[in-house]
Amino acid sequence: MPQILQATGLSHSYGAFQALAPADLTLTAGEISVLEGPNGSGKSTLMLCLAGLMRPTEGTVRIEGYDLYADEPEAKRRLAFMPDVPRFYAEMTAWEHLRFLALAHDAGEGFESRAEQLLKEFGLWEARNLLPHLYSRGMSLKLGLLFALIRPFKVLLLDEPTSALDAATSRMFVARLAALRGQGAAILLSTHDPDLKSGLADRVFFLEHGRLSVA
Amino acid sequence: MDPVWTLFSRRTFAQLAYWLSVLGYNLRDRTRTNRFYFVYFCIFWLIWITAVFALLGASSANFVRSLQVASPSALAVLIGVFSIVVWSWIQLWQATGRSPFVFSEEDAYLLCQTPVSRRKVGLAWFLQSWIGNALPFAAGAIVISFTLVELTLQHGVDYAHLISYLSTSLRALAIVLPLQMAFQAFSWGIGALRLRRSWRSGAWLLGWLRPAVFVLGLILLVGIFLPGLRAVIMTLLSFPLEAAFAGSMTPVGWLIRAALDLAYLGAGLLFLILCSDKIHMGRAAQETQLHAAVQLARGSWNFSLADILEHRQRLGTTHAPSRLPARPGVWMLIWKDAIQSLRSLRAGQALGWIFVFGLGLEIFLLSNFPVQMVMGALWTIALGGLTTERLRTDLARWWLLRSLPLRANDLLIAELGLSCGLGVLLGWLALAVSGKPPLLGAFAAVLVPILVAISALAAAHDILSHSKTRNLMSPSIAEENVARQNIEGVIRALLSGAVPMGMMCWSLTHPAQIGWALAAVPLALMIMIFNLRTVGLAYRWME
Repeated sequence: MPQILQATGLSHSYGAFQALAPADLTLTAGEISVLEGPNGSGKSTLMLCLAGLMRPTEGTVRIEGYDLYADEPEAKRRLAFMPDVPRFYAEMTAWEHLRFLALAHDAGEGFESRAEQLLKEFGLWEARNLLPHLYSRGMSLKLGLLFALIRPFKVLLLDEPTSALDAATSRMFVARLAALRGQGAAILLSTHDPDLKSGLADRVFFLEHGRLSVA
Repeated sequence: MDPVWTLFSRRTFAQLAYWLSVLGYNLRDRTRTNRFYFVYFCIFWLIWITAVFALLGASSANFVRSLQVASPSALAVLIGVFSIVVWSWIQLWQATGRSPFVFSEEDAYLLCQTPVSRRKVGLAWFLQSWIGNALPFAAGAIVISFTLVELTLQHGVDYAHLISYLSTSLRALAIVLPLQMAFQAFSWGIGALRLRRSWRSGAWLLGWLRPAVFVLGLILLVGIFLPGLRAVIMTLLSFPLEAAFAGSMTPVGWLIRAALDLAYLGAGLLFLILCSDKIHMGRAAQETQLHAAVQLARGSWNFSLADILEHRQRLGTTHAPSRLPARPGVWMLIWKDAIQSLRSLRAGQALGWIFVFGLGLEIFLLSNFPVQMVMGALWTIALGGLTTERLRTDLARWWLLRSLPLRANDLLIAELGLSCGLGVLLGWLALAVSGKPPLLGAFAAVLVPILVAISALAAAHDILSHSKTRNLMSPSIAEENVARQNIEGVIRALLSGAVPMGMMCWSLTHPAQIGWALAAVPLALMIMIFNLRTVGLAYRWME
């Protein structure tokens, strides 16, 4: 299977504090990798660097050969990320958010039917015209995940995706991830959930004191 | 002790302790030295407050003298009547739209679910709110009293007049505060009536409360022009208020007026107590939780949080999908900006843009070069703040913004585009109104968009260079973590815009030297491109 994401010598420091020691990491198509580690070990920093939201102090990230910073639009077209606490525009409804993201990624074709199907699948159809600040944490996580699913991607990065999901949604979520793996997506999950790890992980990365290792 | 009064006393004490600590006294410190300090604290503030009121009284006395009013005490009564009528009507209008009893989220869970006496809750919440509402009336009554005393003095103020100042103020407070309390109690009573649980016989009445208050407002407005109606309104209120401000009055006359004042208060409180026996506290909590959070944020000087909460309150809960036409790619940022702008439109924003227009007008109309430059500096600063508002709110959703597959410069241009467009239109409008000669006007018209862009980009650079990804992704309120334009940004904006702005202003004041405006265009363009490049780098290299 081809390597979709390649991070080389990736490190990040907050001033004198090194949150992430230089690390190499690859994500392969059709594989789910789990990132685990204690609180404060640098998981979120690594995820933010891989997602292109935080500039690493050193190192490069390539997605299908495109450098995440030098060829940003091309790399980000292939990359989807959901943080542990997704934030939304206060003035736009869930439906409008989905439309905005789909069209911004040039994935407007068949948007309406795709959005309807996803919203129904995740139980958000009735709340599609609700402003998202009224969403519960679980609903926010589901909507955050839909932002990734509404458009095509090759790499999916998820930070604590099941922390506020109910049991039924968690099961549906696991099935979704397994299906995405089957479709050839490279997925990296940062999680403390042992069930998620045992049920899905093809590979496990362990991060402690900013040092990455393969478990 | 009763739980409602326990809560009331704790909250009042906490509020008192907070304000005393703001003024410099720690109420919770029980040491002996702190008690001595309390004496000093009281004397200091008493003298300070008296001095401030004497100053205000002296200024307003001079103003009244300049108006050559025949009877200042009649004017004082009129001001009192007007203030109470307008304020009461506003209170009444608010009480018929939303519960006057404001319950926080904690109250909603801990108090509103319990079978405590609704009447006690009604009265306790009323008293708590009254303290804050009464303060401006108390201050107003004291200023008017000081003014009236000042007007009777022929040879300035001395210590002997202090007693006169204090006694007149106390007399006014003794009348004004119960009257204001009575009217607030009446408004809250109406609010309590609206919140009554299972009031079947009077349910039809509730739907008419708000229209009735609206009609009452119209009657009061019309009353200004109808002497008969005005006399009725005036008599009902001016009679007791004469006891507060009228100069010469017999003790019996004063007592009769004071008794009427107290009768109003008694009636108001009785009405409130009777109406609040069955208030639906759950419904009241539902209506006011967000309002309570806003009050708390304002009370702790967190105005940006209060603005965010108020913004959410105004937005409501749902919206039908926008019908604005959308195009894929970077255009979606304009589409998003248009939806956000349309849904968050408010008068306060318009004031900012009117200010920018006014400054633009002054730049083009004035013929004094230094003053023009000062106006230009203010225009640059004001524009920088207004044009980057959208960028700031979007930075609070960093994970969405930065995930878009767009080039940094395209994204930044789209982020600043709409507001810069408005700035340019206002600049052109100001230029058109000023009626400059065609050639000079044409150069200025070319320079306006470039200067707008320079200001916006300088402010954006400052915001971006002070923002940190870690803060933008923090789980607390996102907007709170976005940097604002600070002094560095202001200096940068002024330095970027000063030379081309100066060259334009010089040409405007010296039309013969139009070459300066011509030379300003390429220079401004170069600065704009430099600013765009640095903003792009700040965005892409954000740590």
